[in-house]
Amino acid sequence: MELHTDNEVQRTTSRGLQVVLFVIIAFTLVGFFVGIDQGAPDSIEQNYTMHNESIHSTGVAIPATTYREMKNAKTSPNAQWKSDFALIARANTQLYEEFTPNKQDRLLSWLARSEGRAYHGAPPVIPHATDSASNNNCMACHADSVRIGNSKASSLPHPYLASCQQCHAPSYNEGFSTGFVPPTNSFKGAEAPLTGEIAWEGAPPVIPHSTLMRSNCLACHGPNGDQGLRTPHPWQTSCMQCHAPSAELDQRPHPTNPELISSMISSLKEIETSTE
Amino acid sequence: MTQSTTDRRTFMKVSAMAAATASVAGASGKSFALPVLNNESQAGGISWDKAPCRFCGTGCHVQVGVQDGKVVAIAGDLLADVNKGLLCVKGYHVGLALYGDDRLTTPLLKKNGKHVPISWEEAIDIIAHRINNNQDQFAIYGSGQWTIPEGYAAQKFIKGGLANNHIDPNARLCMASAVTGFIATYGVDEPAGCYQDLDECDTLIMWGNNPAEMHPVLFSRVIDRRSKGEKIKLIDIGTRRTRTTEHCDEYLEMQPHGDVAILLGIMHLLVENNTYDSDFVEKNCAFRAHYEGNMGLKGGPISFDEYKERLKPYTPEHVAKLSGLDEDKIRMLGDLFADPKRKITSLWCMGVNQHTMGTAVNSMIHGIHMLSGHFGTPGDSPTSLTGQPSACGTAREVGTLSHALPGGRLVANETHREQCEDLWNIPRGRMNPVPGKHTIEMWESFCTPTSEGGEINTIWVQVTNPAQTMPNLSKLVEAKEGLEDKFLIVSDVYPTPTTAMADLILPSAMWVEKNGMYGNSERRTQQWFKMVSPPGDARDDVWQTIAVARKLYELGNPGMKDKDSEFLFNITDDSGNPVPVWEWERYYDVNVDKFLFEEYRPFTRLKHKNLAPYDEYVKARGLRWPVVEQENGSWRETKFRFARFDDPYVSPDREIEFYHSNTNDGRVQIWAHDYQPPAEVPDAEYPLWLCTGRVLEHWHTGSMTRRIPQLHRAMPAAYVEMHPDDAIALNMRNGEVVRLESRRGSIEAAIWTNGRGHPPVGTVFVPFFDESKLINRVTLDAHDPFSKQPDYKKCAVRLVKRSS
Repeated sequence: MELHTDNEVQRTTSRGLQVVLFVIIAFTLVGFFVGIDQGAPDSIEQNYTMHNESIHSTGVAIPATTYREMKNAKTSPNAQWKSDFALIARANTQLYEEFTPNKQDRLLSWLARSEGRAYHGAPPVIPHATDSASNNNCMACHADSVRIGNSKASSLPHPYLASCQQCHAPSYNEGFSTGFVPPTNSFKGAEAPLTGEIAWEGAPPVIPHSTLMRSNCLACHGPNGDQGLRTPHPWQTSCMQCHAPSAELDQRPHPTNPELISSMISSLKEIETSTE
Repeated sequence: MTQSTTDRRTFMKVSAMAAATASVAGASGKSFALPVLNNESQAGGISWDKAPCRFCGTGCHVQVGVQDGKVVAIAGDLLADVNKGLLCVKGYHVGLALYGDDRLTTPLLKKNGKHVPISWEEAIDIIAHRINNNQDQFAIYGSGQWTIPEGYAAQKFIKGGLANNHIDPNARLCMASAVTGFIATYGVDEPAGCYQDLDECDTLIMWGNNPAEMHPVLFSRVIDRRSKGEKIKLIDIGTRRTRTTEHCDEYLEMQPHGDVAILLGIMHLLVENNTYDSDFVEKNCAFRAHYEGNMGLKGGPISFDEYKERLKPYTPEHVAKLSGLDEDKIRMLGDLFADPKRKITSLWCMGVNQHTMGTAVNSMIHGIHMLSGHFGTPGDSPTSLTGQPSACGTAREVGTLSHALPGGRLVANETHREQCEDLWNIPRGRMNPVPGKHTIEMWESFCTPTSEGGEINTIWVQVTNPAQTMPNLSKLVEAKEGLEDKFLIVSDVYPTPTTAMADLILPSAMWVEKNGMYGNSERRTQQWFKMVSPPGDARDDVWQTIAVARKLYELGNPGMKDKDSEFLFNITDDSGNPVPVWEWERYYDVNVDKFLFEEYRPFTRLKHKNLAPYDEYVKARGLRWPVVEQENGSWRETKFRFARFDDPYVSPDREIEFYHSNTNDGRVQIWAHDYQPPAEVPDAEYPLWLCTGRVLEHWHTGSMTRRIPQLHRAMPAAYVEMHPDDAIALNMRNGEVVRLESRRGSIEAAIWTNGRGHPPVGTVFVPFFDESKLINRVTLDAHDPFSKQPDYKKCAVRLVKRSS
């Protein structure tokens, strides 16, 4: 009698369990579809290229782990893994090692740099996602130059300025769906020269760009600079001893008319005294 | 072929003009002679020339690099005092604004609902006949992005020629409350200080202001001082956290209209604790308020005792309730102003101006500076920033407002009208003494059927995009659709929501495709030369105005003749021979900008806003008025007005003198206003505040900047910025597209939580640059009673999931 009751109870329980499970599954399914129907975000439209990697990166991405595999996935350091941030920062900084630039690297660097700039001299756009609200994070990587594998973060070629995104626009935005596809723009920016002018074979090239906002030469030309821009003689750090800047690009007095020169100098002096 | 020949000829003229002026500049050897970079440069074949940036009111100078007739590069101008070689992301990319592939290149007339190309002759003919038949029903809607000569030509054409005052600029939506604030306080418009205040202040208070995005070069000018080791206290008083907040020592989050209460609270504390600057007040101040019989802009005088009485209710406890600030923060602000050793600069822009109490808040910010004596030395300054590149130069100084005349004059003042009539050499009594319709009235009238009293039947829009920027769009702009007898003419450079509605579109030249002059936020007048040709058949706005005027003259419109029966725009060359500049091929035979500017200059002396001759501006990176001629023939600009150490118009026996005082005694007016709640407040039905505004990457309606790939990629679409808790409560998630509704209209946009700005719970923010999400269908047209400037910063909305 008791046994029978137990069976009865068992049967009722399992039937009850089935019903409960059915209800749960049904509810989940309905909920799933209602959820999808209700508020799924619109697909993010990408009508722009993402410049996530510099052009001569290895291009090998580590495949992401799916949620299903997550539980059993082994997590371990990969080939680029380093235990100490300082080690990363110092990677590949061989100050006294002679470096021979090659033409292909130079072309690749030229291409990569041109891609991120509207014209020769424009501040580069930010080639990665950013925290839209804040500038403080930039200096975590860009205070000193950092190289991780083939990715690098350059240090600032200009003195520290606190409002990074005033001049550097992200090239990637969280990207809300937009009904507006901008018309194409046929602006053709001034091109960066592949090298500075050289007076004779063996002469030091002159600086082919403005040195305004580009006063820290080693930011781009130092050991952590882009491969194609690196100086072959990194131990020599008094760059402008041999490489002449352009007075015109640096907006210094340069016209041939002496009256113009003197009036410009007096104006500069006035500005200097007024800003002192 | 003919086109390119014309271009080359035009170019040679322009270059010759530039060279001639530059050599004059060099020879004179003035201290501010700053010639442009060598035009004949061989460096990369790029020639460089100076121009102010096309975009905001900061007024940075850029160097424009031109090669083969196209702009190819931009550099920050090292010699420019405003920006000292630095720009912002818009400025660095300003050259790209010329080259969007859908530039308007030919006049287009709407026929059977479609825009079809027509000739310029036909277009000018249509406009002239339209105006000639309805002279009083015609209106011009202009812009703070008009160059000074553009605004001046339109002003002279309509007020001096057509005796019609229906002209108003988009600046009405932007800085009208700043103007009324200045007039009510100083008796004369525009800031006393200049950007040097930003270098010298040790305390910077931003009132509802986000300069990190809207005036980035000015903001970094302050925060970069910190990198040099200087100590500056930054205080952000606002309704949401922004990029500016990140750099601030204090973030004081207030409820909408809390600014009114906070200002009254600071005044209350200064008076109550006897910490106001009694010496400064005794010498330089008077008190003012509105009361029975004195309810106008200038109110009526009150005694100091009555002023104190009016402040009595605004105790820290009461102000805390009205503003949402803690009492100790209100006391902290009171103590700051009480400290005579501090150098305090206040900055404000649209948060204060786009406000139904805009005039009151403007005048009370000036008021706390005066009451505490934080005025008159570098760094101690109430500094009103302006949004557009020539809102000051063109809208305010040329007076292209429905009630104003050039040089700070008023339509309603008979003497002022007579002065204009004499300077314009038109018959006395021609000008209309009744102020025209201001922006809101003008568009409301245009959108009302003629049979129902909507008298304005033709509007000519230049350099602006009202179908995106007007508040309450469906009522004030879109209602024009279907009104057969209304005619909208739009001069612009790209297709916009406004050109889409237009009956006639005129393609315009922009920025360095024409000669121009701007006037920035710090009274600095700037000049540039044409450097490249406009695309296709696009033409200068000044030319368009003069061509229409000439056609009217030919049709026999009497207003187009001056007293001597000469054409109103009788432009002559250096030897005094008239040049038919209304013929486009002849337009650049003479520098029309210079001619109009020299004609305008005499207007500027009445209110001591003296401008120097055109050639002085060619040499300089702008000059701040009053620019006064010295004994040696040189021209000296003025950095600090009303202070004897710098302003030549202050009497020798006074340190400070407000020489256009409303009380005619050299005193400034300190106002007491009463707190009033916003025009619309969230309720059960519409429970959220909506604030609208701009973003760093886009200039206003984005018609230019959205065509610049670098800027578009950075900020591709408008969004609804909101607090995550609000999103959770509404079961909405980041990125979800929702409908935002008000009593007036709705838009759909994606939610952004923890985005660029951080509104508090109960507030959402939407930028207005995105023409596919017209947030101004949602905003309301309630406006300040004096400035008529609408409040875009607060109205009640709700968010609705799309599926419901």
